[in-house]
Amino acid sequence: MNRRGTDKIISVYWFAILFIVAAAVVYMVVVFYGTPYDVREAEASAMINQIADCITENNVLNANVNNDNFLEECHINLGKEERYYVEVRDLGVAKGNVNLNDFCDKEGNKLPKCVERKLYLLGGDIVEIKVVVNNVK
Amino acid sequence: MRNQRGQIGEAKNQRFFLALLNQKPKKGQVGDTITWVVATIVIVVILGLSVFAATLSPIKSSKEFRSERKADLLATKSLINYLSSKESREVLYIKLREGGKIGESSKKIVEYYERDYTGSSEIYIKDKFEPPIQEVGGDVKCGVEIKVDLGNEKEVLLCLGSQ
Repeated sequence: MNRRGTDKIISVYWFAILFIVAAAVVYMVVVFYGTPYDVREAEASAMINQIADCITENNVLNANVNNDNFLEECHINLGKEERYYVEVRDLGVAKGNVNLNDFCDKEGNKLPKCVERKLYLLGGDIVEIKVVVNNVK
Repeated sequence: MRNQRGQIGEAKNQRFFLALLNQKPKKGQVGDTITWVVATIVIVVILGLSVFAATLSPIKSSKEFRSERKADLLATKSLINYLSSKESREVLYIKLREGGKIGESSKKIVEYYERDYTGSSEIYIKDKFEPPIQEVGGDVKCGVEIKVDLGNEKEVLLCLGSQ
């Protein structure tokens, strides 16, 4: 039996296994850490739905909500990282990091995402709700 | 002769037990262990390098998260509010149920939301059991379909975007 030949084949096999395992490890790491999903727009939309629910009562603007009690009334916690800015102009509400608002007219992947939606109320009034969400620090 | 054989046997036994006491690893086992030690080191190094490379810039190019929209709560609320509003002293909902037509004001509702969707958006009244207009002509379906039942087998359909 050609023992040397068999050994060579086995060592090639081991190297092949090693490279396959290494490639799998690299692939998994890149998938996990590589490109994160940008959920800022989805986050802003969810927040807008929550705000739309709390600023209206019987399908008209709830006059009891104002800038001072907005966060408590809407059960919103903007956190300490200053990643959010919320604005409901018709109620005079402006909460969060106001500097983020300056980026709304600019476009860029690394810039904060600005989502602005309108809500039609009973009687024809229209409320504009704006939410700006920044990247996770 | 017997003594000689006995001595040889004893010597063999001694060698066997000595070998058991001072057992050294065989060549094959050493080779396997070294292979795995090297392989482990290589894998750990590659893992470390790839984690380091991947975390150099946190948001290098992020994938846009686009959850397939099935419903739009804000547009639904708006449509219901719009239909419950009065248009020339008559509640629109009742007017439409009695055979009235959707006026120009309805275009506003479409305008507010169509920019959030790709493709055209439309609002119309149809018979409850009749397929939507888009489906009659071809395969085009609404991105988000909001239906409000008016009674009298009629419904308002707000079709936002197209698939």
